[in-house]
Amino acid sequence: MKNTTRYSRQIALAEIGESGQQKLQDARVLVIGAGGLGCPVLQNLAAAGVGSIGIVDGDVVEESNLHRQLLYSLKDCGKGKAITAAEAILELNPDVNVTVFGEFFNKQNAAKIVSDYQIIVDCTDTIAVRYLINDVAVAKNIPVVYASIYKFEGQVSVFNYKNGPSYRCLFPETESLKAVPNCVVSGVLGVLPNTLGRSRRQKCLKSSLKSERFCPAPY
Amino acid sequence: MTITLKYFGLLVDITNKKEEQFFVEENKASLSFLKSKMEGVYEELKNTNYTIAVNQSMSSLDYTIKDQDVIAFLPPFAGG
Repeated sequence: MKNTTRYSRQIALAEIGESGQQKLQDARVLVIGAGGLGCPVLQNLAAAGVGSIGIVDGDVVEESNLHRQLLYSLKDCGKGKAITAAEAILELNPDVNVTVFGEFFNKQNAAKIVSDYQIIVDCTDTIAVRYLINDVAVAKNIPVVYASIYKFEGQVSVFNYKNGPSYRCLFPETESLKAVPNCVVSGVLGVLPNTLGRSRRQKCLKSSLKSERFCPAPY
Repeated sequence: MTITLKYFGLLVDITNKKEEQFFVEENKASLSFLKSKMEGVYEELKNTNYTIAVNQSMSSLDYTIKDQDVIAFLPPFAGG
């Protein structure tokens, strides 16, 4: 196990211990979207010692991101989010293996990108991509840790965990009758995605530890 | 019987409220019946994708509503 000093406080938890920390080090987590939700998830997974993290995002950092996407600073504007986020979390924890996918998640690349991961964290901001993540995760039998935001409210859940319900079980309609606004349209306070992102980090670590005690609720 | 209806996300903008008490006159009413009824009250709901939870659990539309049920209308969120 790498650098036990760094993780000593969480190893001290009886429910984690050295074996749990080893599971985290062996875990392979794919974070799709490195925006408001993705930033705190990435920061926390790296800090906790999740061994392999994939980052998918084809977007670039903009000034309007900086009030909530705390991995980035003004000097990063115009740079790719995936590579910039990777550099930031490697600075936080150089023991983590990070793979950068500087592209948007789509039907053409979905199956290939997810193939090497045990858990997907959905940090996207469009409904269509959310269904695509769901479908490829179900096909490959990979659990999805999910969160999303509307103004001051958030949704957090784990889907497709041990044959549990999927996102389509919750929202079967594929075509949105009324367009669902994202943060660009509806606005967002920085504290909300950061709170939700950290909540999901908790669910993601529990899934990584694969302990019955940590089994997340399906909804 | 009296039930509590809760609205989330975009549905708050449609109904202009987060919560309301609703009196169901019928002795026996399904969730499907309630859905149609509320889509009559707030017509924009017909054009909106949402799911329904009863007492904090997801529920099928054939569920029979009980007095004091808390029924939540949950739309998908897109923001990330």
